[in-house]
Amino acid sequence: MKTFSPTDAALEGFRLTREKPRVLLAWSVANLVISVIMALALIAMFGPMLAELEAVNASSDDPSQALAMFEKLAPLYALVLPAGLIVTSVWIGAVYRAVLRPSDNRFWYLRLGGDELRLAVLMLIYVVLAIGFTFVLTLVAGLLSAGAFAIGGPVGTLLSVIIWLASVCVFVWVIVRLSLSGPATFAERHIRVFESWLLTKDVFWPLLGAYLLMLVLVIVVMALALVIYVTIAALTMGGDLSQIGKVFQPDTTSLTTYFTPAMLIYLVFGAFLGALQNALVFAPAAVAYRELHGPVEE
Amino acid sequence: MAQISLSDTAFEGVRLIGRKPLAVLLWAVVIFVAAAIPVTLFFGTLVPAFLDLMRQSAAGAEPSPETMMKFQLRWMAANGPIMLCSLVARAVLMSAIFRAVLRPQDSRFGYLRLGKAELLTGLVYLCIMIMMFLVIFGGMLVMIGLTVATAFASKGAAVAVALVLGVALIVLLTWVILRLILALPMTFAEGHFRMFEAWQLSRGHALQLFFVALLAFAIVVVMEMVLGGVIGFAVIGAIASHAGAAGGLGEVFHRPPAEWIGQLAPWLVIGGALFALFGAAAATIMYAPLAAAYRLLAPQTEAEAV
Repeated sequence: MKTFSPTDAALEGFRLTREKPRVLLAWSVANLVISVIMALALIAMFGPMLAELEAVNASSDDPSQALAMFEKLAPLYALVLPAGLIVTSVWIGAVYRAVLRPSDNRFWYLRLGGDELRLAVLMLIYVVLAIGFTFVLTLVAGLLSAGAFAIGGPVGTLLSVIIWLASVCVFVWVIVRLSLSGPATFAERHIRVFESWLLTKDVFWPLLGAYLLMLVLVIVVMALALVIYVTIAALTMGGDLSQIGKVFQPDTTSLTTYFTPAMLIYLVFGAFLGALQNALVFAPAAVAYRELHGPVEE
Repeated sequence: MAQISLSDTAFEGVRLIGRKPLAVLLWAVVIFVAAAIPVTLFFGTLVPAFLDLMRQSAAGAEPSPETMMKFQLRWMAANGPIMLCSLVARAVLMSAIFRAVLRPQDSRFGYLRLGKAELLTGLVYLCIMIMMFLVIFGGMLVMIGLTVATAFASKGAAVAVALVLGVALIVLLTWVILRLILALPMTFAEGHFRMFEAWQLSRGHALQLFFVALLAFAIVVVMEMVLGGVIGFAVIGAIASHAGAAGGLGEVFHRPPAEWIGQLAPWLVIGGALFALFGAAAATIMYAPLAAAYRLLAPQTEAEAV
């Protein structure tokens, strides 16, 4: 039986950024460019509307007003969702390429081609499957739970809750078992929806451990980054900490109100952090795939 | 399969204090300095702002939202560096204790360093803490869900369910900690981040590790009762008598912060130094057995490398 080290898989993102600091720098710059372009486009096209929505949310509890604003913002979602899907595919593709085809390092592993298109399609397929699976699982759990509830008494109620908890465990189990579909699709240059199921047979616990450790590491990095960001921002702005909080509720009415000094620091810092986070989050599955599947064709 | 000897392992910290008392003194200095930085930050920035807020409230003037916001932001800004400082100090101290047990010949600077080993040990410590938090959080969610659901049917059964699940959660948490805790000396000794490798290493030894930890903890408790009690009462008594001479503790705190902090400073320094010494001894007693257990359980090649 093939296996892998969950610790090494969870740490792959760190290894990648330590061994290829220029790649991390390039990804950070690319992240910054994308963030600035997205912000410019949003403010130019929807800035006043977003500010209006913020004002409506703050001043009124009337859901019809907020709904009317959301209708006006529908074109925004039509722009943001596909753009987000493409950008995410590019990031995932870059991390998978760095792990699975390390010598293919042109453009710091960043591309927009067949690999990324397949990853985007796979994500769409998984969104549909996840909705369908959640529906079926909820239905089954609901029926079983209702049956248990009908028994009555503390045992029936307890059984009912245990069924709901079990359904959450089933959901996590299925997600982990299918989590190598992305690297499989990338490595084999074909969309692989269920191949991961066979690959992950008998390695559920090591995979779950790797993902859990990766999650913990991301929490550590984010907490540390927050401390560093607050310190840098406080020092840069002469101790005016109130400016830092405003970054999370930016004024989108114009470019000058949006791009404050605190926001600029946040964008630069966030770009670096985003690049690091992408490496940390997406690399473990690629390593697990490489170790479980065997050598990958470059 | 290698076995953990209870007496050899649990008393490793006490033996280390006997072998290297000067190193323990140096470790106390680290604790004192690491505590002094946040205390200075705390008293320098937060206490005066907090006392101002209290005075405004006592005078009947509701502090404005801006004042409250500024205080909260100061609190948040100070909290980060304080926690970071404490984490670095813990990593340095823990690594020094591991070094003293696993590489006794490497005794420069009282085994104190600040390098890759400390960084990795600190990171592993932080990861174990967060994992414990996740286990507690998940366990509490399950416990609350099941207890509330049972309470709809029977209050008595809900109490029983809460008790059983509470005990189960504590057992689970203890077991997970025992299975992962050797990741700390393992990471230090091997110079690489280790987490689930410790799970393999501690297979079949969770109960032995539990008794080692229990015995080490009992030694710390006895030490705390004897030394901590005497020192604590002496310092608190000295502060109280000093405050009494100045018209009572309440009177002292009504003066400007700079004044009463200045008056109490020598006593706080003496108390801090004694508690730092106590903290260093307690840390040695708790952490040294981990390194000793690792030395016993590690495969021969790694043990030889150590």
